[in-house]
Amino acid sequence: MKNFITKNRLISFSAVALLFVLWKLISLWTASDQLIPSPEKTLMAVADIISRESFWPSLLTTIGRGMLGFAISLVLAILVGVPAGMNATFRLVFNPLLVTFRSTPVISLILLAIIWLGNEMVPVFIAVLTMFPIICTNIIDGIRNVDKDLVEMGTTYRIKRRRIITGIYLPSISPFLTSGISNALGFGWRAIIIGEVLAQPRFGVGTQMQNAQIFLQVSELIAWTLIAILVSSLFEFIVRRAEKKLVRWK
Amino acid sequence: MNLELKNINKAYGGLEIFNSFSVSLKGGSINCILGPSGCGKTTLLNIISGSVSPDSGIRDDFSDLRLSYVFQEPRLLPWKTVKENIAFVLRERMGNEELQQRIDEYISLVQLGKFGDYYPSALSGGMKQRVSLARAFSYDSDIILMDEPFKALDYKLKYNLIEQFFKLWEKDKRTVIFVTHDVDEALQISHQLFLFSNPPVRITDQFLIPEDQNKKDKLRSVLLEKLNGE
Repeated sequence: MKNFITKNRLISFSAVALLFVLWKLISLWTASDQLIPSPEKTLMAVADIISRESFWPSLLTTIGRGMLGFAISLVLAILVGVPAGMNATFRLVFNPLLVTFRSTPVISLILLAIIWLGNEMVPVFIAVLTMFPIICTNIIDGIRNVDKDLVEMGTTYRIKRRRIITGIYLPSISPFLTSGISNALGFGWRAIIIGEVLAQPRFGVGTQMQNAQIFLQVSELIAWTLIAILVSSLFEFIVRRAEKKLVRWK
Repeated sequence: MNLELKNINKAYGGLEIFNSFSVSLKGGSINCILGPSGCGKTTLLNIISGSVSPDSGIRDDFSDLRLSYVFQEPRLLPWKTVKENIAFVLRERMGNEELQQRIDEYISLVQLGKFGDYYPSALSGGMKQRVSLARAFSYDSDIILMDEPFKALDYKLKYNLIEQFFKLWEKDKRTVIFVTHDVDEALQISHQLFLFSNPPVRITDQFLIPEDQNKKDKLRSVLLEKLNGE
């Protein structure tokens, strides 16, 4: 089993290494740092960015926006999703709204938000609009998926309502919730950066990317992208870990 | 103490299941309800358990009585181990020490002592149903309701499980109401047997099950004839 895991790690690692080799070859072929800077030049740019005074404020502000957007989305999704999952009428009212939300192009919302809101709040707003419907839909599906037979078993044995909720409802919903959260974080993170590029708040990864783009600093633009990917993977990893703990029984 | 149901009426849509139906079930023994599929046997159990209310009629006040229910399917919580599944129904009734003792006692009675920390997904169908039996008997109920709990099992497993059921029952001889459409199962398990007709349900016959094997065999052919005649 352990051997197996190391082998899988090795394969994943080789894939990333192969990507870097390809990148290097292409950069040699184009021979232009303006178009495709070499991996080592980009990694140097990463180091340079990290050493700058503006790095941590930019990164942390973006992460903070993500967390704030996520927290708002989660609370809203629970407030709407729980009653909608329990009650058919409520669901009928909310379903068209959710469908509309999910199919609205993010860019329309960004453009509207720039008009309606201040620059600092636009990315958070976008994040909520992206993440809320995903989490909410998952909560509704999770609640509707609760096995009525198990609930009946609980009431027959006269188990208290509170324990039926914590012992039957929550564990059945949790796999839906974690997959919703993991999806939402992935989409939300990208939406925030798009929001920052367009709204240009004072600090933010997107703001920095936009600046690099204006000055044609391609290596810097790619370096920020690498940083964004890294942070996103880190969050993904944390959610997966939590998920594994929650659904151990599978 | 007997359990009385009087003049029960219950209809689903246009279908009348019970029309002034009455029955008196004997306390402290195993009552078997035998009848064709879809004759309202499960509905009767659900009326007793309170999960279905009759349209009208008098039911003894069961609200003080505690019930265990062995369903057709095991209905175990997949995210809890065997021990945790039993603990889930016992927790509100006893302290931790007694709880652990009770669980150990009952899972070894159904020969699952080694599997206490397994999740249901790792158990076979028969093992899961044994957990369900252990859960029902470990819970200090006044009545145990059983709805064709051996239906999905093969012959050998079924008789193994019936043996374990008797072992559990002998401990405190609780009132059991056992529903089945299987004549052999009914003869093997019950003390008295109520033969149900198709809806609207009547009790067409009522038997005390004889100990003697010859008399049992005779009763068996009588029952088979009556069931097929319906």
